[in-house]
Amino acid sequence: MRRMPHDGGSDRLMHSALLDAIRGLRWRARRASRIAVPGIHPSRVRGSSAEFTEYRAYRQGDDLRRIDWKLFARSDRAHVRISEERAVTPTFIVLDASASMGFPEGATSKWSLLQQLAVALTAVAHASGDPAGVIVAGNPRLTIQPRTRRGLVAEVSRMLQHVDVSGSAPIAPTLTVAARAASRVAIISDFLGDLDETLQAARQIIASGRDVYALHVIAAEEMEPPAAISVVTDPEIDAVHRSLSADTRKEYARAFGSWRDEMAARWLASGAAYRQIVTEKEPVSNVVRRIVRDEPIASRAG
Amino acid sequence: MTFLAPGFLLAGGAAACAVVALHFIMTRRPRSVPFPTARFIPDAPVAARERSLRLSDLLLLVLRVFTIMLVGIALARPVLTPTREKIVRVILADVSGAVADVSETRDSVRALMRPGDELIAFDTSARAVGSPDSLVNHAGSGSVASLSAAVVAALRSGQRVRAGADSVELVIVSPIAMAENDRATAAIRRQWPGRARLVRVRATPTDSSDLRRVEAAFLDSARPNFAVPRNRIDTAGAVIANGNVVVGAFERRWRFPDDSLKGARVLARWVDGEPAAIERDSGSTCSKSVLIPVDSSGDMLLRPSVAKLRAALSGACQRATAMPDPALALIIAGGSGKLASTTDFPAATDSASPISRWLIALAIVLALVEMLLRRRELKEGQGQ
Repeated sequence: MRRMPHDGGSDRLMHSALLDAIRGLRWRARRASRIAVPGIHPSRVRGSSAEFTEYRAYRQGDDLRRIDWKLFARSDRAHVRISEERAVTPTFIVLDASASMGFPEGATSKWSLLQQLAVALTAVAHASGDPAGVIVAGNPRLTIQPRTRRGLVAEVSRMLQHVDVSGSAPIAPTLTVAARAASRVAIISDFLGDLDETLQAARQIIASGRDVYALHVIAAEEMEPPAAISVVTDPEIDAVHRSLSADTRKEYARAFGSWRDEMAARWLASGAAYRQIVTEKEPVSNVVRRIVRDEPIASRAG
Repeated sequence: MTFLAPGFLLAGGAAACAVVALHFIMTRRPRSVPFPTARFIPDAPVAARERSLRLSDLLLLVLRVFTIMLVGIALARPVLTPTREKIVRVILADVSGAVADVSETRDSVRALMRPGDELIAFDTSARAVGSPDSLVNHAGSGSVASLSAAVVAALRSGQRVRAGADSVELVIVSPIAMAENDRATAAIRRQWPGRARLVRVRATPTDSSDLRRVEAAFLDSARPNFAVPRNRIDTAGAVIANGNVVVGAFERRWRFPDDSLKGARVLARWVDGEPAAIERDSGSTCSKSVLIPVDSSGDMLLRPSVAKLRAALSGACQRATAMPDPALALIIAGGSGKLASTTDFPAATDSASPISRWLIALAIVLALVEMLLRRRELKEGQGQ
């Protein structure tokens, strides 16, 4: 078993409990990789490794060294051994740093959960031998290109600590940029911004044979607004002012639930892996475990 | 407890009621908080009002009401009314040299004094005394008492005790000696609005030798008794003795040091008030000392004023007049026949109760606490 690379320093210590909890996890690829670089994931490229798959009749131009001479002796026909290749899956994690991710203020914010998820998924991908990188859709856009070198997790952790969670930067352009350098793209967002454009970009990425994970982060307070809140403002759209009363709360719960259902259906229909993650509902390590094992959704929100 | 200005009490109560009413009537527009999924809330007019009674709100209400009430009570000038006695006594105890035995005075006072009574010891001056036992400590000056000073002190004491009694009885424990009378005694006594009670104690026995007349000799070159040379010889324009003024250029070579004046009686003064002749008791005798130089070669001795001066200085020592004076006793015991009513004594002009100050201070403290609580609540509100 390959050990997780050692990332020293306080940045790693910040997430040490989480990293310990996810130690040994491997992020299984949902599709065969088209990349020829040896790795642990199934590859579409057929090669000559020791892992035999099938015979194919010799064709002109095949490497003579790949002819199975024993079979040729028995059948008097030349066949070439075909074996399944394993390849790496470069992974890019796209993070939403819009103002809505800063809700609620403090340690239980969506951004805080996003940070932990990003660090954990980077660590798992890195431990799987895949190049991993992080790109923050914000202003400015921050990027750590996918790579496998040591210290990557600490670098990601350090970068995320200095991100300014504000504004309403779109995700779609960042997603497109990320897809150019990765076979697997994980989007962590509350999808309250440019959802349609993001979905369109995701569909194109999936159509090109890449994996897309849509990780939808929801604050527990959004699921059930606190009683103390009565007048609210959208942090990304100044014009939106609403009042929360007993009646509007019910209507809000219904509308928000419908939106989540609709969005889940759209993401799943696009071929992406979709997860709803609610803050403070379960340990982040459990969430990560479900994501990387591609387990079916246990509940609608989880 | 009574209030000198009860209107402020009513005003304070009304203000407190208004604060309570406002606390329950007033609502506030809630603070708008960022909420990312606000777009899913139906777009209804924002008309929310917040009315939540939390613990801090109740504390604030209580603090505000208490602060206002305390200020109202303080401005209403509360006065704690003590338990009223029917009669309270103001006892004047003579501790002067006219009293043969001060312990006799003490015993008489002890028998008379009740809780709440005022005790004043007097000789040449009068001062309040805590208990009869301390009278002995105040005795021993040997000087002649002043009944006028004692009665004035009693009048002041009457003002102090007026709130705690219906009537005030003036009790004088004294031999009522002749020397204790002066020109103002009768007039001052009439100021006391009621009868007085006399408790006679034994007077100092009179020594016949003290009663002898003393011939006063004006100063010649010899140094007078008790006197010391002046640092700078000067001239006084007049000398006064017993209301008699002698004008002349008197050269002053001597003066009485301060310690020589203790227990001494001043017989004559220079025009600037400095003692010019004194008499002092020493044991059973009495000594006189005169610093007034008179030139016998001139005609000054022939002047009537100088003759009167000489007569004043040549009189017997005043101590010798400690014999009881029936006429004075009659003046003292006289009066309307009733005890002095406390209403006859004027109230103190400044009747500000010390309670008011404390109430104002407490109100300020409560206001500060209220401000701190409000600030903390504001911070918590911003933190949410």
